[in-house]
Amino acid sequence: MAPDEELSDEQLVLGDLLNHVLDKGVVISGTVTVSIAGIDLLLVDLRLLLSSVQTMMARSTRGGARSVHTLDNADVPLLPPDSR
Amino acid sequence: MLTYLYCLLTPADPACFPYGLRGLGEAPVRPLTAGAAGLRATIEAWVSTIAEPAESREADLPRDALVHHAVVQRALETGRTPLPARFGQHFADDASCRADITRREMVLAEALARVAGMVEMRVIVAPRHAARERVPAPALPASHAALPLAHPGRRYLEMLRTRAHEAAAVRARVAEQLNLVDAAVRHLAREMRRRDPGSAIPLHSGTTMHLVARESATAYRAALARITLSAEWRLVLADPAPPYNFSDLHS
Repeated sequence: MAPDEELSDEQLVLGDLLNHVLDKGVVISGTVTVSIAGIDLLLVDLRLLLSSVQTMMARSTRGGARSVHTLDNADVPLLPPDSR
Repeated sequence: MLTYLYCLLTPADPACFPYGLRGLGEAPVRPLTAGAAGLRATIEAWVSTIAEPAESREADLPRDALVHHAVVQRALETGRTPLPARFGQHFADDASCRADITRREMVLAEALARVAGMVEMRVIVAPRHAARERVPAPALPASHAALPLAHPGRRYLEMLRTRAHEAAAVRARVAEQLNLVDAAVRHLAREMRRRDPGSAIPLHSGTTMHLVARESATAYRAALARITLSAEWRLVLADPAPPYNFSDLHS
């Protein structure tokens, strides 16, 4: 997805929905912990998860006409090229 | 084997349960009632038996999260309003799940009563173009500006400073749009919540959530349709959903 490409309504809703499903809801036992690569999701920016969703949706649509937002324009500062 | 929890509801006639519904790993979803011993069950949980915790299936996590949501959404379609469980919550077996629910029975029943007959409406405010808007950062003090811009460290810090300034500007502008939405539907919302634009997906968007009576959903849409945003913004309304953001337990 190009950084300037406008997201469809469906993509917006899906990304937003995942945020709520993973981040909200009743905790009965007080022990729920969902992690990715050993890092507690509560501590991880859930944007990271969307690259996985993009892969999943690309597979399900055979060509990836639908996709969700990626980290293309995330607020992650990068070092200038000659500073690395 | 583990007992995986999707959501909690006020009990209904068992004949109303959508038998055949599948959850994580295609496991059948089934009702599990809980309540103080010797008394009528006051809580109905929707659960599945799973072989391994959801978090151990990292590759399937996004898909599993959507399956979890599909089950909770199906519960909403029964006409009752469920309390969604946090994704990934599991118990050693049915007995321990039932025991934990029963221990918090009063609090859960109170939360179920609070959301009864309601749905969560979510409105996303997003820019029409995903391109980052360039906002000039404020000028540095003269003492700092004297440092050579060609120095990599200086350039990196300048980049951080510009990004931080842009992010703050975007948050403020998203908040303005969300305020318009809240004002338009306030009379229909029993409760309101807002997701910080800084943590929204995608970036530069924001979400406001409202707990609304089911029968007010049409009026809610009509109220939204009357909002006029500036041309660079758009509103996206999600389908009525289970109250993920209004399931706080006041224990």
